[in-house]
Amino acid sequence: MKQFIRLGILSLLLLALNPACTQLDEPLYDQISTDQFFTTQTEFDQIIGPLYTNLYGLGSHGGFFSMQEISSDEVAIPNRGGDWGDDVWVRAHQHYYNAYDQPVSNAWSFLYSGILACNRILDLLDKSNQQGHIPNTELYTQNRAEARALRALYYYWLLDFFGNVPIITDYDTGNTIPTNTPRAQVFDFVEQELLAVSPLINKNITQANYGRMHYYAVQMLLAKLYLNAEVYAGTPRWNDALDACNTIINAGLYALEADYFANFKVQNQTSHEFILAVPFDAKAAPGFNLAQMTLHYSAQATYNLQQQPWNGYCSLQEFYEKYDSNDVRINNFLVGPQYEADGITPLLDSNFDDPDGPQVVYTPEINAFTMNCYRQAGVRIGKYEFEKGAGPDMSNDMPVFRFSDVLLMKAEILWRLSPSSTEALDLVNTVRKRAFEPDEDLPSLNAQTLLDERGRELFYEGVRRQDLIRFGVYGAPTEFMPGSDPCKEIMPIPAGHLNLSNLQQNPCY
Amino acid sequence: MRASWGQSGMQPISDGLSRETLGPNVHYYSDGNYLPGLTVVNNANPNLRAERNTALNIGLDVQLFHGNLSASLNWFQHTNDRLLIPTQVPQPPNQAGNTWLNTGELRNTGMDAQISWNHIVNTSQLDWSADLVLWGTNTQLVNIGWSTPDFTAYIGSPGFCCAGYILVENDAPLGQLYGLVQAGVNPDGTIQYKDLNKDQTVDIYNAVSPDKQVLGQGTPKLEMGINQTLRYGRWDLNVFLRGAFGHSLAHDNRVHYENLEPDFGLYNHIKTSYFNSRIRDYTQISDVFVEKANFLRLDNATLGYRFAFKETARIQMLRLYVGGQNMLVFSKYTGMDPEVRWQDNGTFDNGGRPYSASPNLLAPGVDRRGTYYLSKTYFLGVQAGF
Repeated sequence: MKQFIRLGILSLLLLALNPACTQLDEPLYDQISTDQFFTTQTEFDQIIGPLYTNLYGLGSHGGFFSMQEISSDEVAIPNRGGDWGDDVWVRAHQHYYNAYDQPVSNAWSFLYSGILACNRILDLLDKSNQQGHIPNTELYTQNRAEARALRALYYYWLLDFFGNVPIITDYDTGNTIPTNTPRAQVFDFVEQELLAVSPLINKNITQANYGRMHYYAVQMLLAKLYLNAEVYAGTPRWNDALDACNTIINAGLYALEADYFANFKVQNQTSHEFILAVPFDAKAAPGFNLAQMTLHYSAQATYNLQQQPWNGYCSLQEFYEKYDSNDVRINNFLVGPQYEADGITPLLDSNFDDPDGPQVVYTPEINAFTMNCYRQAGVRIGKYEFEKGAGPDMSNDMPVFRFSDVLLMKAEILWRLSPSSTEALDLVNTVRKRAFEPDEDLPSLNAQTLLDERGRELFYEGVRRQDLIRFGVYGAPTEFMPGSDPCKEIMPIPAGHLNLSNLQQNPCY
Repeated sequence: MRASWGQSGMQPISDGLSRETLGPNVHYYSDGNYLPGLTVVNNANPNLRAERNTALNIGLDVQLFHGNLSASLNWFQHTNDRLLIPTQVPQPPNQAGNTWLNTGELRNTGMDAQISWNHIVNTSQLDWSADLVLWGTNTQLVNIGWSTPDFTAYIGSPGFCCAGYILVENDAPLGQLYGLVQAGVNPDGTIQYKDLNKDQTVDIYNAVSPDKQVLGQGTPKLEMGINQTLRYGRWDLNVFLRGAFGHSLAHDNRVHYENLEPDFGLYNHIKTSYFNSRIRDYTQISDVFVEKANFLRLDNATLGYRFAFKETARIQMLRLYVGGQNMLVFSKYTGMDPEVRWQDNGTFDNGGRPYSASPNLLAPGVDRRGTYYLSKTYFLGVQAGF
């Protein structure tokens, strides 16, 4: 026993004398301490990057993008026999959407998920900064601006789509129950946000920030916001819109691709037209499944697809016929007889129901909309390249903002400021020259030619509904749309979100 | 006679339900690479508590004939409140669309009876015993915690993105199958639905409509099990019958594949006794797809024979038996399996994956397309004792 006590005292003494114990700044290998993070852009990317994954929701069926397209005159899903019998898509095209429609609710959730994620990251950045954990102030300011710009993009979409929406900018909302902000004030909010971040956000356009918000994407948003200012807030802002367009054009960073379809190839990330694109990837970033959405069931054999397509989305005859036959952009559509992957064997539909026989022939004419639509009816959305042997998800990137839109916007603004503007006409013809060989320039501009040109150039890019509203023809009757009230220009606030909060429903729902 | 009352908390299904959780989402793009990222998948709810279960039982136990007949009768009421339900919440103000809430209250009221009669007949040749179990419950959704009526159990693709089978209503039984009522088929093949509120139009498209009604109940009124054991000389027989009565099932296969819809191929249709070749119309959920699914099932039957041996023999006992499981089902239900569906496993997306990871407990009564035939089992056995 004595021995143990002696040993104990000895070891205590040794411990007390051990000099190593005073040196406590040991390097950590399995953790990153707060003062070691937020030093490089790569580390900021790890925080900001995940915010963009919500945008993958743009590519798939059933939400915001679907409603944008199908409520316009360029895309519809007719009832094809027993398939697509869920009347919501017929109603969406005919502007009979209501607050209980799932796609409307999906759109709301998609947009607010994006906003709330930005709020969370902004909160994290601000708290880290307040606690002195962000050594690099410049990067902090720049990345903070980027998250705000992305949030402004979602608010711009909400402004456009739902109009009177709650504005939430805090992460910790406590027990506050959101209330609507009138559309004109949402407009002011988006404008203020964009103007605030514009001088702070990253201005260098490199491969490193592809698919991310930057200065020119902010200018594009401002241009879109001002272009539609009369719709959103009652007062036109043509000159402000023009300034924003000029900022993008004069920077000289963007140019039209020689080939229109270079923008929609599988490997389209090198396009010089993309101001903002969603960088889809079949494996890592799935969600873009246009091939599934639009192609005929049998077209699985044309592209050797891993899954059978759904035979849903198509365009309408009236819209298709806005294209001249020698306009290269008419290849935005798949039309006529279809073949298997070898290009020779006719593509057959064993369950065909149309008078011209079993071969699949996409026809511009849709024989019926709510019942008895032939399986092959309607030209299909063929502007994106469909990769052979692909699964349901595509690797093509999806442009959100494209340079030819800027040129057409500028043309429209100049025309609105002065209907005889030759510069406006030249800009439209610049975009047209790419599509025609030999050139087929427009001799003059009017509202119809401008709207049609935008339609032809920007088909299935999510701008048509907004354009129709701005030109005052959203509610005008088309092929299968009987005409609608102006109040249908904004969507109903989803019932599920009204029930549990203080929100007021939009008029006419 | 006995009576009991008790209250307890329930063990939650997993830890951490009250916390904000981050989950992996798809990869984000960064300078040519796709890197994994996280997003909020569940909102925090620091006020979350355990579920509470309050049970009240009143029972009567009887024993007669030297204990050969025993019977027990129970009336019970089980109330589960503060139910932990992953609830869809509005965004904003919530970060994610999902929060665990103590919402809802369910009340199970019912009776069960158990009669066990040993040696009903007992002679040297014949011995017969029987057990009977009967139970019936009514599950009432007292309060779901959000405004009702609401829909659940979405029918799903193809053709039904947004319509549901089950009407969820406060102060109503769980598992109300809901829809239109067919009146007949028009000469042009369209289906005529009944104008229940007599306003000269049939409101088909609104989820909740005055022309729709509760078509059936997904939960049974009565369930039963009978076990009989019979010995006759060297033969023995055991038969177990089980049944459920009073429940209905929405027959998902028929909803999707029975009607000849206009302009739809003539192949691959289900032709049950309800098939009507005059119909050329799109399917809406109506009474014809909600079938009564009463059934009585021969769950197990075994017949055995016991050989006789001298007491000095090596083998003391040898019994040969044959039997089977699930050999017979008596039911008018046209689907593969009339069994009660206590929960709904949901619809499938186009890749065949279920949309929802966790079963929907609010939606008993849907026979989904994922159903497959239950196997019948036959067996032959030898039992020996040394």
